[in-house]
Amino acid sequence: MTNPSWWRRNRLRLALLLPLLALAVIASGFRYTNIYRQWGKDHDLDRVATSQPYVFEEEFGTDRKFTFHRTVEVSLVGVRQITMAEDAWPAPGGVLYEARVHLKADPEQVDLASCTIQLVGADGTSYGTIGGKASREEFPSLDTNPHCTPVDAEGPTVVPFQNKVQQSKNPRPLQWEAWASIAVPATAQIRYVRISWSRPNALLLPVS
Amino acid sequence: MKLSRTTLLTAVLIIAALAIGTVVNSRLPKPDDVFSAPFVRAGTFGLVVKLRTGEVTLTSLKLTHKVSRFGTTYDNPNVWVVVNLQFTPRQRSMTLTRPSIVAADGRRFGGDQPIASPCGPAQPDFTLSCNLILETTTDALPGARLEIMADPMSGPRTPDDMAVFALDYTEQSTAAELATAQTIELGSNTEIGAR
Repeated sequence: MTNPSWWRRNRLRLALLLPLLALAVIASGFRYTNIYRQWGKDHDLDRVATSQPYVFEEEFGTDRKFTFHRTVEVSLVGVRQITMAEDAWPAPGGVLYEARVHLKADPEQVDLASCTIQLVGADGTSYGTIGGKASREEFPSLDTNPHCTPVDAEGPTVVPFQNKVQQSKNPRPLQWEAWASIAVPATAQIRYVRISWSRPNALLLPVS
Repeated sequence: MKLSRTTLLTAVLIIAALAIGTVVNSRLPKPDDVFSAPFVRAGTFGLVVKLRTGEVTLTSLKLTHKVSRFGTTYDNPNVWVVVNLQFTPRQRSMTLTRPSIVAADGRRFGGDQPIASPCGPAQPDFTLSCNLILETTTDALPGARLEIMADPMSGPRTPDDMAVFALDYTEQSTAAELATAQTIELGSNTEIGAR
């Protein structure tokens, strides 16, 4: 170690140690790159409506033998600020919006009664129908679902765990409006209304 | 064959190095442990802990034998730990449901609780104040820590963010708090507002 000629003889190897150390650090970051970052958006497959009405299509099912094709024409009616919806108002610092979407589908199209409607901010944040709302009730029954289909005319739905289709009380009309009330921070800039029926597929409707 | 002193010394050093290496290797985490280890975020009472899914602030922690909700009192010969925290999700709605108390001896108290108390769904960028209720035993509290996973689907063997708070209880302080504990009324989660 004390012989200075050893350092001279091994200077190339010593220099190579630095990139090797850098490679070791990068390699040890596999958890961050392969596990941690992968969870960012939970692998949602969003598609943007390039024109409206947009024909949204997807395959879904409860298992391989019980699958369906979903075809819905979707167009955005509008997003407007409201003060209250179903006995709830925005929490301090928030605003409440009503998002309305026009839908058109074959009355025999299965499973349109359960959907997700969200507002998507400029930074990609998704705001859902629950949360950000206050109510007079201590244990409020806040509107937990968007109104995806007309009441008593939901159309055919798949009965969970039974692999059979059940008809609604009344047939679903050919076209209707779905809507949701969503609280967002007053500072949020809304870019899209996001609607989906079966994850991971979703449709983004640009808000003008 | 006569071995030189240097050869013998080298052999001894190699055997010693192998022995030390074996001991060290047996104490190092295995690949599975590393892969499934959570990302620990150490927290302090009253200060924000940043997790993958949002920010958590532990505001209070109380011990009691009785909690009340919807007019029903739940009497417990062991201990109810009532954790009050504030949660502000980021990017999307989230619910915190999986707190655990880990005793100094490694016993883990968590999972599904007799009284469900989900913190959420909380809206992104809105702060929700909520109570999480855990059942544990008196002897588990001295030296225990509280763990809160960033996602309801994650557990202590999931490579996800985990907020960890040291509880600083001793046998004396546990007994003293329980001796004067009243019934804790569990209210609903409260929206604090947008930040």
